[in-house]
Amino acid sequence: MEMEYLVEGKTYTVKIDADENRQEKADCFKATIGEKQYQFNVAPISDNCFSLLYDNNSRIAYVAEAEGQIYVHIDGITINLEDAVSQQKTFSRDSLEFGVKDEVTTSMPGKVVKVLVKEGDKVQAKQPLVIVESMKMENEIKSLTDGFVKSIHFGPGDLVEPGQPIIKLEVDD
Amino acid sequence: MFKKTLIANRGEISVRVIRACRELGITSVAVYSTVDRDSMHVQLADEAVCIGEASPEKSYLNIDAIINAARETNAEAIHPGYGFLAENHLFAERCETEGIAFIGPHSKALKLVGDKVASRKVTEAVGIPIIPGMKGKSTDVDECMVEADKIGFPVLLKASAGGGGKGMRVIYSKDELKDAVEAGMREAKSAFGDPSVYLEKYIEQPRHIEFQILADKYGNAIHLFERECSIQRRHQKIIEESPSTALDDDMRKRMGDTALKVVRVSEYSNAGTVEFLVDEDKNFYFLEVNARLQVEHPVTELVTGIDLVHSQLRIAAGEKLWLKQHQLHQNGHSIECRIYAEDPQHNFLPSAGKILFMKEPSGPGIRHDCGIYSGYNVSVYYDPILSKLIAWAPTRETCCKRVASALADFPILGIKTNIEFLHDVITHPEFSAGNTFTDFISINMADWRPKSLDQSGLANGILDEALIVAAVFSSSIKKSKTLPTKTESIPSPWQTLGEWRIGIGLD
Repeated sequence: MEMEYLVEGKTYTVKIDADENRQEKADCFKATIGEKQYQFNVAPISDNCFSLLYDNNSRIAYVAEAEGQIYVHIDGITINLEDAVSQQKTFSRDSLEFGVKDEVTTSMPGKVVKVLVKEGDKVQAKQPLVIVESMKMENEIKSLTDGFVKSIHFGPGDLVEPGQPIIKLEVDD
Repeated sequence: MFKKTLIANRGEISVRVIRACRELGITSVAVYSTVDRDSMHVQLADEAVCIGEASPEKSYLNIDAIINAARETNAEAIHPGYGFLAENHLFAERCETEGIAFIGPHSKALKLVGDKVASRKVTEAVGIPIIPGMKGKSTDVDECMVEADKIGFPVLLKASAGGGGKGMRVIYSKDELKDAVEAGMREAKSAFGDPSVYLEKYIEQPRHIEFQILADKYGNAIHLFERECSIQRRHQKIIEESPSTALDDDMRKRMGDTALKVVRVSEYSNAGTVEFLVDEDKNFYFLEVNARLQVEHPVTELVTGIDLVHSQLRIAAGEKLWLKQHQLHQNGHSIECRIYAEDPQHNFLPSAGKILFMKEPSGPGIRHDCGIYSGYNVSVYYDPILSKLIAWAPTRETCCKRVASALADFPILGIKTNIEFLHDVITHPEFSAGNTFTDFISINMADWRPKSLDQSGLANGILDEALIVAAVFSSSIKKSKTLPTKTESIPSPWQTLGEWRIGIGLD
């Protein structure tokens, strides 16, 4: 079996084959990642917990999955893996937040507190455009680019979802 | 003792109070907003009443709804927790009028100490040292401008009606003042229903040291020593400990006596905390009284052995204080870390979402006051505090190691948390050395970033392990038949032997 994962922008391939060794309460495998080969056995502890043994190293791994994102926690570190196959079909979170320059959006649901510009205003990169409140904290959302305010779609008191354009900008090219 | 108590709060503090009620044989009533139906505090309580929609004004700040819930369930007492209505003297007054015991001070004392500006006046009058600042509170930006000039920059803006860092900001110059005051007033209104603010001189490199007190309704009071709360981000405490490395026995006695003086002069009762700032020259200044049970109360409990929530309930029920000052001692060391739903990759902004899986830390000397669970949906409407990890050990050094070890085995998957950040603070040499000032984070952790794989995973081979585990996991959730395995499940004896009974051959 072969799986492909995207981790911090790089793609990795993991190949898993059965191993001749047998063990009670665990499954034995050979894994190949790039040049490296591992012989390991894995005992499932629960739906989200696996005990991994290789070269006498014992690791406990906690895993959970949602929407193509797999979270693996080992030794105090959580690693985000994306199933490289399904990744092409969904936007990564970062692009929603920072990728689209001419739409001013929030990365989490909140309430608009104050709009700092009006239609037609000239704006500069890093200039604060709108203040949104989430979880009792105010967050200034800054412009990613130079340009003009084309249209404003929400006002003070309105609830906004991630991805919804609060302000649309006309970008200088 | 009360037979039934309503807890007018949510999350981990509500769970804490419910536990204390169970231990004392008190029936607990939880209140919840529509989005909190599946919260842990609702699950744990004996009774639960829905008090309104998600937004705090409609639910946890809704005095009428809460009083109605108490009447409906015949609750004799209400514990307000921290935040929300805990320091709202109008709520305390309403309880008093309705004949419901408010687990806290009398509304008069609450009004006095709850008004941060008025309490400074009262304490200054009896010779307690205070930080120079505004004599009154304000909702007027221009007035603040004038006062700031009088005090001299930099100044610290604070909300008059409550704590928790809400509304707080350091203002370094006139140019920043207008926007800062407006933002502070908005945060204050949203958190406490009152936009009033005031300004104080900002002291550089201070240590934030507070004293826990307990006072009964008959004029008896004791202090339970200090907590050091200097590790803060954006004026919000994130790590607290007891004892403080800054105090010697002499200072401890003087500050403790001062704390009791504050309690006496404000006629305060039940649990409370007297906050001080200690400057570089070891001068201490009275800051304010926190007229509630605080988030960080567990460190005091672990070091003194006193259950503060039990104490609150007993005092509110009319018991005379059963402890004398000379009976109290600090034993060992305790450190608390506040676990927040925050995204360290994006400037620690609150992070909502579903907790796909979590495992609580445990072991000797580990206490976890928790309001979350695997599968719980962290919502955007409330404070992002998820839980508190508290450790106790005989020495500070061991306590630091204990906390660090627990933080390193504390998976919370599906949302972002500050756990990795906390671990790096606890293991920082300056923290181990006890150099904890309120600017610790901005000085020592300014360039902190979560470890990227180049720094951590790849070097330790953890990335490869993660890839292997992910592959095994992916196939198990897909229930794929293509996962190659040669292990056959060996039938257990219980399956192959058939029916059997003990002693069947003995008849």
